[in-house]
Amino acid sequence: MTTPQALAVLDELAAAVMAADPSDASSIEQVAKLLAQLRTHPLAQDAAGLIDRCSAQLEALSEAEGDEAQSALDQICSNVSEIQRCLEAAQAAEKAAGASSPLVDPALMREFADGARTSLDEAETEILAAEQGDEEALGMLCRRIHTLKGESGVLGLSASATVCHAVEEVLQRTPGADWADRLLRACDWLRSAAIDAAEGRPEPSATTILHYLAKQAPPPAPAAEAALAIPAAEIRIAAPSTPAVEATCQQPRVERDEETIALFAEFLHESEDGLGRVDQVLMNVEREGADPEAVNLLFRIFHTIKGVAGALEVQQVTSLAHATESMLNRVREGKLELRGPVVDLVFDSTEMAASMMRKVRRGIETGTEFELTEGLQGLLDRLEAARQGAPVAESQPDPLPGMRLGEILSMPPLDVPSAVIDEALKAQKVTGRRLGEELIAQGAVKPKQVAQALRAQNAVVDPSTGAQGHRLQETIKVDLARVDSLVEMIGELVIVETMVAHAPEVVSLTSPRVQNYLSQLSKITRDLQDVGMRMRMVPVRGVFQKMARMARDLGKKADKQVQLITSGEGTEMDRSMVEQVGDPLVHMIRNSLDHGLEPAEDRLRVGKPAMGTVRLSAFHEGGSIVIEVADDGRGLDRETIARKALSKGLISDPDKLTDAEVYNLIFAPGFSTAAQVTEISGRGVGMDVVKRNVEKMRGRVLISTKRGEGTTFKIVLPLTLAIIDGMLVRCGEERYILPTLSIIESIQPDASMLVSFASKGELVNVRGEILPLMRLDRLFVVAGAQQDPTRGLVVIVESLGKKLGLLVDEVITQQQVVIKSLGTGLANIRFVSGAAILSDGRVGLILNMAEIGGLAGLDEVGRPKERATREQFSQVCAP
Amino acid sequence: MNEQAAAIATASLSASAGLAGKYMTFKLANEEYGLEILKVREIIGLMDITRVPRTREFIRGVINLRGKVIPVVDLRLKFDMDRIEATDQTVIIVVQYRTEGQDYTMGILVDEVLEVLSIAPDQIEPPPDFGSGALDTDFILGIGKAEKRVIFLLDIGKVLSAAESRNVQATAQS
Repeated sequence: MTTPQALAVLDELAAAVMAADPSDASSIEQVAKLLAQLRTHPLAQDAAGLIDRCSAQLEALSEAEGDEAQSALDQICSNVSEIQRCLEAAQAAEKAAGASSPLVDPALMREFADGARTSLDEAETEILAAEQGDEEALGMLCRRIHTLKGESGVLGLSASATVCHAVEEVLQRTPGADWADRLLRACDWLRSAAIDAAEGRPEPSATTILHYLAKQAPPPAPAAEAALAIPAAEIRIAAPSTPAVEATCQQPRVERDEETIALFAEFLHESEDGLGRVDQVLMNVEREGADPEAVNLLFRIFHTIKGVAGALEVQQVTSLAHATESMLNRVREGKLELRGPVVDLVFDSTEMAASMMRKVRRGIETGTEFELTEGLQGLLDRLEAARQGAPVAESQPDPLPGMRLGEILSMPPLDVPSAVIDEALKAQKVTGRRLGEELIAQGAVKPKQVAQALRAQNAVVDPSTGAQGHRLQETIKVDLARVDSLVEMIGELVIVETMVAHAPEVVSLTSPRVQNYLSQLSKITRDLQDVGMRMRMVPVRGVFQKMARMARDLGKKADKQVQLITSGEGTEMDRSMVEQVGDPLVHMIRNSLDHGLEPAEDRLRVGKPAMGTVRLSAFHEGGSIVIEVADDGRGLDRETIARKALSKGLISDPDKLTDAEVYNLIFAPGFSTAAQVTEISGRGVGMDVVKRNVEKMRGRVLISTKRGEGTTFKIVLPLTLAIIDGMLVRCGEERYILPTLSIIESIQPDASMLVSFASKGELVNVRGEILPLMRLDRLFVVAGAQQDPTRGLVVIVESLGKKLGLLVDEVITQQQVVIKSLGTGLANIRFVSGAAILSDGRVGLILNMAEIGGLAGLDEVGRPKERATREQFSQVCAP
Repeated sequence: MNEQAAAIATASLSASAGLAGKYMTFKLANEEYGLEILKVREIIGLMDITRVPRTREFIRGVINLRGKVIPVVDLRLKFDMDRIEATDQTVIIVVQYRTEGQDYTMGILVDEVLEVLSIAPDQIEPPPDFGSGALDTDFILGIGKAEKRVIFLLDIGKVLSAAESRNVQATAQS
């Protein structure tokens, strides 16, 4: 047992001692058992003594009674914490000693953590589906947790492995009332543990979560009746060493040092990866026929496995990989064709290799000899026969003309339940995978079965129609900083390219050749920019998954039946935006659940299903990305909002406002129509946050609602944050960029439109709308700007619902600019949100319209705001 | 304050051996200053500087350094010296340094760059003490002596981070 494992056992021991009841023999037994387990660890001298003392006290305990027993327990308790201290010190010493050669490669650990986090996100979705009785999802979930357990065990993350194990136990029970809650809590714990692991911190204590998982279990299902007799059994189930104890009965224990374990971890990781690839390649071969590249790839994978397995002395894997490799070598030499039964053979050996890997993994985890896989010899013989060119027995289904893959699969000999296929067909529409791949991903069928079905299908379908040029999508993991610096450099390239192309010296060149080169350069640069931008794009799936989980939790809290339907999870957005869009979405979904959807009885009364629906979807629309949150609830009530706004003094005359204007009031800070503040919402903060965050991303929020039918919020976002459409304006000698998004129009006012207010503030009358007039030159103290508004230009801008006129000298041009930060030393300059490099190479500043708009001191309906901003306003606007 | 200055002085005295090394020297008016060579990234000729509104006067603005936007500080103004018109000797020294876990790249505008000078430990003296409050010498690492010249060795991180915090304050007050 390693020290971290011992610590985990110790944690449990502490919990068991706490829970122990002197009158309950089984609980004492549990403590004794854990103590015995602890003895297997090579403990420090002090700790060993303490354990002995604990054992002695425990024995004494069985004879003692009443208060005496309790005090004996207390002593054990304090001894246990003493041991904990000893062990922690020992672990720290171990760490210090092993600092130069870490047990597990940090990169491997990070990779594990990455994978684990993604996997846990998926797991949450599956838990939610499983709660609704989705058997498929439950199966996936079981496998997922099992894999995670294996991986954590291999990497020495014993607490995570223990928690996974406990989760597996929970999964085997019938879903009860808080079944999903406990699983979700466990997911949270595992996720934080994975992050800790990746960042090199020790694992968090699993005691609480294990208790939560085990203790609060609903009465066990009849099958588990035996366990009922021993109340502490559930805790024991969670013990990591239970499988080890079981295994010890069958397999002799083997001591492996940390280095070997690390080697095995890497081997397992690589091999499993490789075998997964084999399945994919073979599927492709089935569909499109073998090409040399695919054969080479297969050959290499088995060759690698053979090499490493040989070095690690895993005899069975080595011989299997060797036989497969030899056969593939024949294929490579062109003496054997990789199709039909030969493909099946490779499938078979992949499957067997995978099962061997699982056994190796179990052996490593439990520290025992590897279990042998049966049937190896048979397969080896078949491989050898194939290598020598003997015809291989073919188990090919009859050609099935014109049938669809799903139909073939559902027929004998494959007999896949049609419900499974239907499910996969549905899922396929979302994921865009092929049916076969979908089924395999869901674990419903084996790759080999699909391959056979495909073969049957292709036996009659013209091969050319079957080949749709489906290539494996290969990915690599790249450091984000590198991508960012690449994107930044592309940005620079774009700027330099523009500068070159617009340089007067170049423009004056008449040579068609140079012009041709220049336009090619320009095209390549734009393409490069495109590719660069796309590299930062990630699907919104992750955020959506979190929302599904949250909707469920909130629905429970608010006691409403809610289903969240998501679509378009594959829509890609800039990575930073995906992160930023999470917050507003949380608030919007909360809002929809709490205010939008009615309680079940109200819904039934108006003839709606009791289950409320919130649709969350993402899609592209005219060069923007749209994220939509739509509920089928009661819709917004114009009257209530208007009344509330009136009482809050936000508006003076509701009748003058359009519907849209009234609905927009819900974004005002502190605005809430909720009669009472609930745990979920009602404080009037949420929608304000939504609006602010979305505007920070230079997006908009649109509302459409129908009374009694529901409300739809639409967040419209730009494709990327790195580039904005800007209007370049001149003010004196300076040039500034106004984001086009916040510009409504620009006008050249005549004298009759200008009004001054108590000789303190200037206003401009735009078709009856009186807006404050702000002079940019005064705001920024620029010399030499046009002082006469009638000879300058007034740009009407709007931000955060506030409108004002900004006086500038002229509009130079409209252009797209790449946003840059002002540099580390100058991060927070008021009224400036960033910089951009203009086509002449100079830096132009981008104005922060939200802050400038805030100066206007008028809210959306024309009432003066707080005093402080009013003073600033008159300061800036004073004539 | 006195205590602090004294502490710095003692620290610098014992650390003067650590201060020895190569310095890039430059001129402001008739005074000579030195920057640790490892913090100097490059020297560029004067270019168009875009003024950033509502910042302290010594922040001259921002420039485009091959696609990257960096702030430029006028060291004359930072040290409360007279502003002069740029000459053909005026340059921007681009410095890169790290304070409080953050990397900074900034340009500093100086009258003239002189040379790269090796300064031995015995040529370095602790920063002067002008008496409390008279002059802030926090950002002087020490005084280097080379032949008959006196060179003020600057801790550029301190010079500019002071610049930044004051700039932030100034903006917050406005």
